[in-house]
Amino acid sequence: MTIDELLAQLDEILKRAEGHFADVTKVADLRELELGYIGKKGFLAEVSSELRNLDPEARKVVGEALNSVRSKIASYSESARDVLVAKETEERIASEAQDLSEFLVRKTDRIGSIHLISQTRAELEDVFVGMGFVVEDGPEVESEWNNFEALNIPRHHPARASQDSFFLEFGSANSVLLRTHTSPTQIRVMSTQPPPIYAVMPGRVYRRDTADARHTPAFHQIEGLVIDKRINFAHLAGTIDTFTKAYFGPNKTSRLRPAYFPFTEPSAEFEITCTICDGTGCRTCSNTGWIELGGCGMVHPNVLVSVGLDPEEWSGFAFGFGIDRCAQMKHAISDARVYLDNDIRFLSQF
Amino acid sequence: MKVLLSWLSEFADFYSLDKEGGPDEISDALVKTLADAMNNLGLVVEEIDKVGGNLDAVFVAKVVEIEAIKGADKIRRVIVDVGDKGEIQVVCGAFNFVVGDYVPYAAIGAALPNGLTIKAAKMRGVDSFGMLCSKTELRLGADSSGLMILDRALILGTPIAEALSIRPDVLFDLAIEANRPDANSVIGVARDLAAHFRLPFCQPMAVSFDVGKDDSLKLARVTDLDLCDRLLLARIGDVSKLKIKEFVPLRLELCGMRSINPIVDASNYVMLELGQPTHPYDATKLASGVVSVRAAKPTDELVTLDGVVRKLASDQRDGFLDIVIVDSKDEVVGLGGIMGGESSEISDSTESVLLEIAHFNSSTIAKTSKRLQLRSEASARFERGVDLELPPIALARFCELLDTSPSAVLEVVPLAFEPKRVKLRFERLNSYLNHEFMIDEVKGLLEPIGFGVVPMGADLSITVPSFRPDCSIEVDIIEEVARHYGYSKVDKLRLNPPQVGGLNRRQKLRREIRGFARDNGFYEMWGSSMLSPTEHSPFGISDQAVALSNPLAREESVLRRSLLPSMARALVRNSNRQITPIRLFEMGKVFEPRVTEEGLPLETERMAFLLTSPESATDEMTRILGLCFGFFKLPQPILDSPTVLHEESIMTSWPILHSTRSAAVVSNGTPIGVLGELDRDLVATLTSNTTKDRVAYLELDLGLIFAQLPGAVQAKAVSAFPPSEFDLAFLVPDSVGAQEMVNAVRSSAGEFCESAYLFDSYKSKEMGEGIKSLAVKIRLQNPNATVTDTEIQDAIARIASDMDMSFGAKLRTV
Repeated sequence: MTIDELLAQLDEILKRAEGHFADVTKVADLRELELGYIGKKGFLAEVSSELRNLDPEARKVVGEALNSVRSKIASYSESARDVLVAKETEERIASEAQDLSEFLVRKTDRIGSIHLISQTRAELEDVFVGMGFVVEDGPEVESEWNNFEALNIPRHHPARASQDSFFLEFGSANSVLLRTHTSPTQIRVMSTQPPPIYAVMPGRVYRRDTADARHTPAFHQIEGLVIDKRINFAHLAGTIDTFTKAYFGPNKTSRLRPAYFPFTEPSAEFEITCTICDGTGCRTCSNTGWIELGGCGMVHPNVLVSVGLDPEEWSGFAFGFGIDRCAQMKHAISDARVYLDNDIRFLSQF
Repeated sequence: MKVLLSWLSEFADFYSLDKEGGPDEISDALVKTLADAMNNLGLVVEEIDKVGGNLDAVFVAKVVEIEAIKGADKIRRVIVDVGDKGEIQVVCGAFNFVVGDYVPYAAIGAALPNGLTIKAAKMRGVDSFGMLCSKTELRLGADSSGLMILDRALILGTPIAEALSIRPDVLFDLAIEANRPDANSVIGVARDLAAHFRLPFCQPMAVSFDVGKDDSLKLARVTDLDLCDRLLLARIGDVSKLKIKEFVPLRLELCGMRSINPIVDASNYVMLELGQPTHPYDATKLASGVVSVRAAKPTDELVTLDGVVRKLASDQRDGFLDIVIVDSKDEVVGLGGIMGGESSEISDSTESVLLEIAHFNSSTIAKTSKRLQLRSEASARFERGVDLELPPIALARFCELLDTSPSAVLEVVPLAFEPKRVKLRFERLNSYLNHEFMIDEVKGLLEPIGFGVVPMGADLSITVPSFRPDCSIEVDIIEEVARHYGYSKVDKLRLNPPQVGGLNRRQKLRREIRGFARDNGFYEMWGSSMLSPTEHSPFGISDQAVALSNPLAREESVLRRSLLPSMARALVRNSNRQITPIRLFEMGKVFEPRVTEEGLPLETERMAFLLTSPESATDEMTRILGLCFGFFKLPQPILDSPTVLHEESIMTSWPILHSTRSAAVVSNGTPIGVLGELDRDLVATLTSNTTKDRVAYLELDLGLIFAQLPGAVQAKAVSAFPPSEFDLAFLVPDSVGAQEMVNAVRSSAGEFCESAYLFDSYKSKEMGEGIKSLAVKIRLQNPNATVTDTEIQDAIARIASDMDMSFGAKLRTV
């Protein structure tokens, strides 16, 4: 074939290729088309095989044209591939459409919940841990010694009646009981660990109270105990205040007022800024702006003596309050008896 | 303890604190100042009631006509004469009055102290132009059972406040702590308050009476000074002529005591004011008109004022002893310090009174009062401790109120009071309260409340007044200093603990376990530790449990031995309310009737899971068990026959579950819990057929798990070579447990076996009766090389032959 014929053929191949590559619809067809033009047995290979019949001058001219057509066809193929891949991806994605919201509204596995009391207890513990306290556990069934005697509450003391206890048919009469407070754990800690002691004792306690909106026969308390050299009433007031601000909020404050407990002297009740009205006065706080949270005081020397500590060398303070009550205050639970039901509709709220 | 502002003010001029009002118009600011002070002194104000006010439109009226209303049996038509206001018709619901009685009438428009505003009304067609009032409606007493009946000497139409000389007053209801017997009296509260405000305090005094040569009381005796260490007797005559000071009945009523007659009122008034109980006897009802004090004898009996026959006794061995008051014939006429006898009660015809003013042993009174279940105002005071120096002061006050003098007085046991002295070290005081106190400051705080302060070297010697039995050691005095210095003035110091705070490993784990349960869809519950005595046995647990000596109810009378019974209560509760599915979790204590070294019942900690499902629930629960062990980083437990839990006596507190769908959970050779389904019949009975779901249960001993926890995990290098995985299926007899089989495959697969787990289990007719197919996926991993084909083929051959030998399991061609 002549050089002109070859060049014309190349033109024609290029024109045809442009059409073919524009019409191709699937990536899978593209490879075949490519082979048909620029493969070993493709149209261009045919032209190429003619080259050896040309003189060097003409070979050069046709060769260059051939290369140019090849690279143009390659670029048609590449553009077509880009378009097709994009289109196919788009179609695949469209076909995979999901309404994800469906999975949110199905009755499927749900997260459970940690009991409100456990959550509250952990929050309280964390506050004290942050203040440098450790957490101590003790048994729920206690000896009369740990629960009363060692705490300076002798047998006929009126405080025993006020903490009406559940005694057990175990050992000699009235010697074993369900602890009425977590204070016996303080006795255990002081009896077994040398001071200094900086510890909180949370746990379940029992009082012989008929259940009503504010009482359940079993409830939870957290107490704190500090025993060290030269611990004074100002440390107690400071600790209560630090706790109040950390747990109830920086705008809350605390105050102490005289009270009586056999195991502390001086003793105090501690009150905090009313959490409902922030101190301006409301029904909850009987318009005083304060709500009573718990009891505290300097550990009574008789208690220190009962655990073998010298009150001249060591001093300390203790405090305690209700975990259930904190939870009730924070979460607007008007009736404590709801804790006894274990109704999942209640449990799942927290 | 109820105290009136006017009464308190007899001892110190609290009205002078009022910058805005005065005795006739008490400002809110004064009430607040006083209430704050009382709270700050530890005399907690529980209620404040303004009394004696808002009586402007209430008048003295006389009942002139009473008539029934047709068809109404709770109300009547009453005509009252209100003096210059004429006769007025009202409808009244009270029935305690007759024609001629004088009663308070509230006119239309009257705004009563109880908040009620009187309006014209029509009831059952009858017009009512006002209201006749009870004491409570007027805040003039606690009696709301009927109308207040007035003295017929009053002038009709007079405003009631004017007629009864009532002035506005404030009633404080205080909660007095057990260690403050002195504050159980008006004088005690006034003393504390006066000191707080630095107001002069007027201390009432004893009076010496000129009684001539009357020695009629000389027969009086006290046989046991331990029971009664002071006894003052006084005879008062011409009783019918005595009039009591006019403010007494109203104050008593306002403080919640009924006014009865001048003698009884004077006795009660002295008790409320000074804290000294006294007892008046009709002297003519006493042999020789005199009384003595002795311990009760086993045959003693007394009909007390409340009409109840009391059997009295003394038994030193049992530690109880009753104190009785007897006349000269040894007839029991009173229960000392608690209640007088009916036979010598003061009546309208009483002419001669013997007044007994004594100081009794507080713990003796407490024991008798508790044993007889008889508490009185007197016993409550003696129990806490009455001021030994009060009797002559009380006598003087009693006589003053009645404007009389005794005809005879005898101090049977004279006073032998030696005040306590307590050393107060400045160093200690200052260190405790974080303040540098000066001697004058301490004197200024303690002397106004009756303490003596004398320097003793560098320190102080404190004399404790007779009315403060609660103060006996240095810290007690420090508390008194703090109380009057002001708790709120004490600095707030930050602690500086020489340690790092934190939770120990178990405490952290308990929190994480709760998170684990929550994340697996369980709701943490709080089960009752106290159960009914028959609540264990339905679950196969022995009912032999630690019992409460004094339960509130039978349903809560023994301690739980397993978490299941209380969890079953929650199951029932939720199931009865159609809540489904139920997934509950609890971590809590159980109690065994076995004695520990400490002499206490064995207390252990457990955790339990319960879930319901319409199909099989145990598969899900077993999955939870597996996750749980993974959570603890413990090797998977062995599921053994439930009987291993009951072989040892320690394990008798585990429930017995569905006999073919349960297992004992064994970890490292120790049975630590139970897993399985609750029998359907039992569930149906418990829930009254409210659920058809299956119920699975898992309970584990947390203490035993904690004891097995591994230490810090030592890292193993992760292999850089590819693992090889292959599946093997076996035909296995039904009797072979899947866990047993897979564990055997794992060990047979050799040291390179990284995992072997069951991925399919099924049965078909073609395989024959009693045969199942178990398919296991095995993964081999050589840390140092790629596992070769030969190694794999060797492993397969070894596993196939081992399974055949151990279980008769045949390898199927995959």
